[in-house]
Amino acid sequence: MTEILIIMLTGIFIGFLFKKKRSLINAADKLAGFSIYLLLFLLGLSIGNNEIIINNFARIGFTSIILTLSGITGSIFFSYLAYKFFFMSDEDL
Amino acid sequence: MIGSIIIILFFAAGVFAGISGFSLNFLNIGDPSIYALYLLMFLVGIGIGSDSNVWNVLKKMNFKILLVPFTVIAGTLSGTYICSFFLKDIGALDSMAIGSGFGYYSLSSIIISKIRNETLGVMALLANISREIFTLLAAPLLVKYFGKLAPIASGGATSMDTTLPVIAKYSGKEYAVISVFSGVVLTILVPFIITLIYRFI
Repeated sequence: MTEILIIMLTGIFIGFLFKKKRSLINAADKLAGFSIYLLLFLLGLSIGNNEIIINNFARIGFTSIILTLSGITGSIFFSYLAYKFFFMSDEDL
Repeated sequence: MIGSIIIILFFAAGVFAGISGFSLNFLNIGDPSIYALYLLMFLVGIGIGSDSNVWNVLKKMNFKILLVPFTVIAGTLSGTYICSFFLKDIGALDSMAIGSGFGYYSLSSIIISKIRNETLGVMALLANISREIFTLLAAPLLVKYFGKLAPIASGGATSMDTTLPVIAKYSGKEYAVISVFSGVVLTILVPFIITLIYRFI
């Protein structure tokens, strides 16, 4: 977790330094888009390879997913209120 | 919509390849997805650093940013609490504790299997991995229908790392900073909230 934050801070620093080099920044942006797909594929792969997850899914997967969805629904409900009343007005900056 | 479909396809291809026995273990580098994540974090960082608008927006938002992790905690606890009445094989405290992993599956599953039992630990693992996967897959739709904070709320603790790239892409770079903040706060709180919930037993 710490290394992830350090890596990102390094990126922020480099981005700040090379702010004016638009072609470089745009290239980084494009590459980020493709890396998301790579990350998703590799994440799927590590789940497919994980026997604990695959073997237990039929037994307790349903309850787990219902729990996840209820937690997410509650979170989005409150965040939507916060967004509507506190954040939306700042967006035109 | 198209964004979500492409993401799901890549993810599904990975799961399918994994189940049918394809693996990158021969590379001997541990979980390869971590390196893709490192690359992404670096690139997302460059995007944030090069965007001067990000800092202006942050200055204006100041204290409001604290609201974001709070909405996730309040929402997750109330959502899983209400849900537990409809699930016959799990009680209110266990549901809330599993929810309080906020997507941080490695830590929450370990804590819960220590305090309670293996089965609940595996359930915490599945539930919290699903939180991350759901956020990655649904981020574009969440932004469209529930606003730019929605994928951050959905991502929970993962909004500081694994789900950050999709959040930065669909909510915008200004929200990437809020996302990291919310994720860091939630990540730190996970062990405290889970332990606190079980104090009530």
